[in-house]
Amino acid sequence: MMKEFRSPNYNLIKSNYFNNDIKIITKIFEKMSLIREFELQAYQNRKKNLFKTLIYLCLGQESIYASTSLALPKVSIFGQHRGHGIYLAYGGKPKKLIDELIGLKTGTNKGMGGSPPIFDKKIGMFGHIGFIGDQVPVSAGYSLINKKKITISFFGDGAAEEDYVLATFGFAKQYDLKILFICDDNDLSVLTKTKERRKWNLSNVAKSFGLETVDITDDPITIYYSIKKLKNKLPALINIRTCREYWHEGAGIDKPEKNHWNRYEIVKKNLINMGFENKVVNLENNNRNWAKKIWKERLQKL
Amino acid sequence: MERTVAETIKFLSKKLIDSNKGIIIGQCLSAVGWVQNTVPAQKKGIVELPMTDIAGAGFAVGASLANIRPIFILRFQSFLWLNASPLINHAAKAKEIFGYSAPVFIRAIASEGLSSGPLHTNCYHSPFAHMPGLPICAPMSPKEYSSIWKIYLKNNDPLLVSEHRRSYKEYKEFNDYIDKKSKITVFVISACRFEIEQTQLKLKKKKIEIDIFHIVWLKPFKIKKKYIDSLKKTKKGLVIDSTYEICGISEHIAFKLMHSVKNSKIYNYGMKDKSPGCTKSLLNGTPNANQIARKILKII
Repeated sequence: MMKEFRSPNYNLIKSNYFNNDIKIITKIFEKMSLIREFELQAYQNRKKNLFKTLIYLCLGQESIYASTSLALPKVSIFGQHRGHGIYLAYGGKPKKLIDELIGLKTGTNKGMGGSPPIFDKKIGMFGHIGFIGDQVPVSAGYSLINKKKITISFFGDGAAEEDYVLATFGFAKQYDLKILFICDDNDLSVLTKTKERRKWNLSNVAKSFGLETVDITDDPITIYYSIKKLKNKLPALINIRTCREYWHEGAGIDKPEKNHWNRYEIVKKNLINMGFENKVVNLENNNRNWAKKIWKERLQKL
Repeated sequence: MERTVAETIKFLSKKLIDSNKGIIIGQCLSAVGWVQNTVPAQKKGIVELPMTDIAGAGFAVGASLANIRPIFILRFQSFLWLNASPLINHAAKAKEIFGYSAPVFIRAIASEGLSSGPLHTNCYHSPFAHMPGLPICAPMSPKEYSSIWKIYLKNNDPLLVSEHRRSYKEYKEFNDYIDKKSKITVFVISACRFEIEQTQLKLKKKKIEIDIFHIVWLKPFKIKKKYIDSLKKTKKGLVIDSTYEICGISEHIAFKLMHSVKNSKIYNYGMKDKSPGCTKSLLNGTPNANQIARKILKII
């Protein structure tokens, strides 16, 4: 039986909110809130059937993209179908993303594909074709040539099982690529849990290919410092245990698991406990109003 | 300086690497004669892949996104099956889905004979023609290779090059042949082109002339005026390819031509619908000159 690694405190790096960490956590939370409010509007509008394209929401996983973008801001990025958070955290234009999601020609991909192919080369982000893990070897090939920047390759725990993803770890080590693999491990392939699919652990397998690895929970400070530690030891892999709140695709809410945690609420609560309640409330309100406004504005273009 | 097809490929590849605008990427490149002497024997610009098909094609596609021209080598066309997804779903579709291009040059090498067997015999370009965004050509002479290379460099599309080992040692160039007394118009693709001259001689002995057109570009396939003129004259056509006869590019080209010329009957010919074996009695390769001649006689 595989050991259960999933918890909100798994390999947690304890943060000291009284030192510089408070600045870091505040900046990360700002991005988390922006992503969350954007996604909540996407969910609500899709639920009302105001648009009907392919949509993969990243609610519950915001901390991964917010923390990564702060730790490694200028990189080349290859994401997967659940990529709204990556796009927004790295500074992609929200209106272009909405336009893509609702199928307008002014979208990132001229309305070709909904969530999966979104990209913005100005922020260094390439698009995804829709096959899970396809972007992983592609990102390694890119990194082989573009040695000036670090490449980040995001994928999920399901994609990690694709043979071409595992083969990429070996290639990355063979050519000492400056690449960071980040696995958004939400324990679900659509709705099938990891323990139903495999008995091996991703970070152990990546380590056996010669990669530096860490296996952590989705706490922002833990992600931030893990990336800072690994960025000089590339190629490396970070497996981040997280919880997907909503459906695999579309607008719906998964039945919560007994060990489910909500990272956004945990970070928010910590900040409030630290005396930042007004700041948190204002931030949320501002982001909510902003998200409502731009969604409404773009939907009127339909 | 005159070069064989293999020397031409090597020359063009080396020039690309020396200009720092490209790499050669593939499996077992430096082993056993540097891929039939088509790869420059050097370390610079050569990326040896682990034996990881699918991922290997992905690495090549990724490299093409970084503003270089990767030459991705598949030592047998059968490896196209394993490597198909990144090539047809990512490289070929990138321009339409993302608006940027993935100009990977795919060298897929066909072989045939007793050492090729059920898997590696001949060409598999047909299924790839089905998907959007991937031009396909089958150059068999040095000048044809240089010509498709120029077109590849001029554009930013990926390109599937259906090569055949039979061409590598050739200096020969091919010319179309038109005779006013021809009874049939024959279109030849890939290694069949090395057979058609013999077929022509055999038929000439029987006082039968045939028009011959050498096809290099399979996709896009452009119907030229000379094809139409010839077919209007002969009313009969045959498209021959070094791959399976059914459901392939030769059938598609025959169909397109037939719809372009009223009252014409155009057939296609190729390998039988069975897997080839490694013994002589089980071979199923490119139709030879005798077989093509018999097929033509049957049609006319």
